Amino acid sequence: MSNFKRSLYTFLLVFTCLFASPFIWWQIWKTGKEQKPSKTPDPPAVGAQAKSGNSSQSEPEKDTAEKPTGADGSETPTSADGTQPGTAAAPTEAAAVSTEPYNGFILADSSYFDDALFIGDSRTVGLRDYGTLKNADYFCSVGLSATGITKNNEAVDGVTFDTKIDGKHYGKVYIMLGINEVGNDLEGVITYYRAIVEKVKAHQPDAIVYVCANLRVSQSAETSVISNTSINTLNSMISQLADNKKVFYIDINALFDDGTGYLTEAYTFDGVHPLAEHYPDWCDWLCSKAIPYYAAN
Amino acid sequence: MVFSSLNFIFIFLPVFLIFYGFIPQLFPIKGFDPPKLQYKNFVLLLGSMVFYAFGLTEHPALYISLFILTILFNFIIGNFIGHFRQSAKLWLILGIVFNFWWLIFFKYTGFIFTNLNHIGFSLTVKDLIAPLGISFVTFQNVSYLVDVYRKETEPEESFINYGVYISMFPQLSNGPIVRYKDVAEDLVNERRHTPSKIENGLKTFTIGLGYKVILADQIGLLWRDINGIGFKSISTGLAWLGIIAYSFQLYFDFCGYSLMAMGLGELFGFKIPENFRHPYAATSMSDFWRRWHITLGSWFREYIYIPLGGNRQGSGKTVRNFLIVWLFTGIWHGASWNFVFWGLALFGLIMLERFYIGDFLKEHRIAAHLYMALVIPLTWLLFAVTDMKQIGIYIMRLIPFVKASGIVHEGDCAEKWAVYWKYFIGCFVFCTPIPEKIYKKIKNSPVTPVILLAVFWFSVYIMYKRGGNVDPFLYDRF
Repeated sequence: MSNFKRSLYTFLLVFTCLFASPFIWWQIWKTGKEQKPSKTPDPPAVGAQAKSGNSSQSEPEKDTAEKPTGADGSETPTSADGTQPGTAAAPTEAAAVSTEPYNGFILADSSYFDDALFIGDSRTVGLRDYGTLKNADYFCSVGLSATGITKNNEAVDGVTFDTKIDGKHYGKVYIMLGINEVGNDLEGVITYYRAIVEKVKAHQPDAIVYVCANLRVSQSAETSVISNTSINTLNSMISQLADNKKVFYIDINALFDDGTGYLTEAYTFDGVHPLAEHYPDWCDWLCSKAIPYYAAN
Repeated sequence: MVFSSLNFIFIFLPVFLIFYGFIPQLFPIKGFDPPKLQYKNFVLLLGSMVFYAFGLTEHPALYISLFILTILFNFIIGNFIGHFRQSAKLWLILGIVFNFWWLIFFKYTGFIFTNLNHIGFSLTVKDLIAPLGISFVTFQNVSYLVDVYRKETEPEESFINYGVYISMFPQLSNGPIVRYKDVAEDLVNERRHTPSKIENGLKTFTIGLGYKVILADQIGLLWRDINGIGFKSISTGLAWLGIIAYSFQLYFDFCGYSLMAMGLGELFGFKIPENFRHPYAATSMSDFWRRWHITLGSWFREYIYIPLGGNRQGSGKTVRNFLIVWLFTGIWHGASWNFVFWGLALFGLIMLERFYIGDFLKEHRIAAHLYMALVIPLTWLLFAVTDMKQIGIYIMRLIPFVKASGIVHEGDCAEKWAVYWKYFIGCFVFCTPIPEKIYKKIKNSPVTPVILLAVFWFSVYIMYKRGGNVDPFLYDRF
């Protein structure tokens, strides 16, 4: 008996390990890296996207003459102060081809964000904590995902999304989600994402919705789970949600891109989040993405 | 492959233990002398080579061959030193030059060339992948050659045994730096694997695993967060919290690793020396370095400080000897300027204690602990951040009332504390000698296995949860 007592830990450990090993082997197998024939991402597609993002960013003020209002007749959005929108019709080609990048953005000052809500993950947390747009509302937490919000009704600081979206009258709602679920089935992710957009539209009929591209990761941070190829795929699916009337797609990537489709290493430590000092630039960029009608009010 | 990974604990270790424990019994092969022991050593050598191979990402065949050849070379040189006493000095010098050549080639050429380029040369700087554990392996090889030269030990007659001494996987990648004479007995005499030794080895391994996974890895996330924010944009409170977190992380990471190595060693019948003795409870920097990475400190004392004359040739020479030792200690930890300055800072503090404040610290224990609480995190800052410019930014953030150059989120310190406070408290408690005292008292009570089992499975749970993301030991860099 004393022998057994002296080897009690050995016995317990070996016994429990024998029992648990199959589960752990399964976990090792599951998380093991799959061998892929080719690991290199598709540079031309990425480059092209970065370029298009660049051009839309570089001419925000030039296009103010076109002034698409975002009003399309069927819904008559009222701005925060209750005035009716002008009679100008929405650009017809935008209605016909919804995925065409919208290029009517203008530059606004930070008061544009007085009635804005940001929904997002850790990048949005960074924007909240280190950005300059302190007047906006935020619904964000580290690890938040479209799946989490729609499927699991995840709360942020005890407040669920349903409560948050009814809490106040919003003029602009920014959604930037997806990096935490980019390794999942993207069709499923976009379904959850779309559900959020629909919910925002239903609960905040006056608000415009910005569906934001996910920031790509740096070359050193890219893994088989989080790859820029899948981020680009998800982003292009998100861009399809835009109708350029109520829902607009904006893509931050050009601002932080290293020219080859990766987040610039110097701007980041972990390859996923920009350093705090760069969030003000992000905020300035957001200011340059104002929709004329909403900016005017 | 790190010890705190599912792959090591649930695949490599059990498979190895089966081979190690049963193969020599079940399938005896003639030719080993003594048959069972050397067979076991052979299995341990093979297992260590497999372990080494798992740690290689590029050119595995090349690195494995290089590793075996350096072991063979040192084995031969050791025997030459032992058997040709007239030319022993020549062989010793050849051996030392050979060993340090590889260390310099892999670890320091990049640094040397970069600095030469600063003063007008134009040399190509290559990012060489250093062989696993090269700093540790080099120091073990050199210590063996010197010990044989000094007749402190007989040269090893068996290549297998020497190979086990150098490559034994428990201490291959991150030490402790074992001296040959400390394990010679275990290598050539039949090792007894008693149930109580196995029990004790598993317990030590579990404590080390808990240190690493539950404390170091968790509090390390705060240091990662701070790097992610950027030093420009942290509040003074967070800056202090950050270097304290890093100090805890480094200690529990490295001490946890050393404990795991000790535990594994005991499992195979070896006595691997203790590497840490509550360094954060030290009352001076000199005291600290007798408690932190003990085997490295004794290496420098044994093979650099004392041969230079130690403290026996007047205070001028003593200071010089200290300076040399601390410069080498600094540069051993990494090839960049911050490690040089780190070594110099330690030298400065130790000299300060030796000539000025040592007596005061001895008499005033509370003041001594406060002094250590300040200088430990500050010196680790020089160690943690390799970019000198970033160190400057960080130091400015440590000073209250100096305005940050970046945008600072005011509530950052409170927010991080709310997340990490439990790890701070846990780390603080386990830095003191109290838990070990309690553990020694209850070691053989039936409660201990239950507690340790909980520690083990909680650690495994964390490893399970983080999936394929293995947090490598901080010391892997060195």
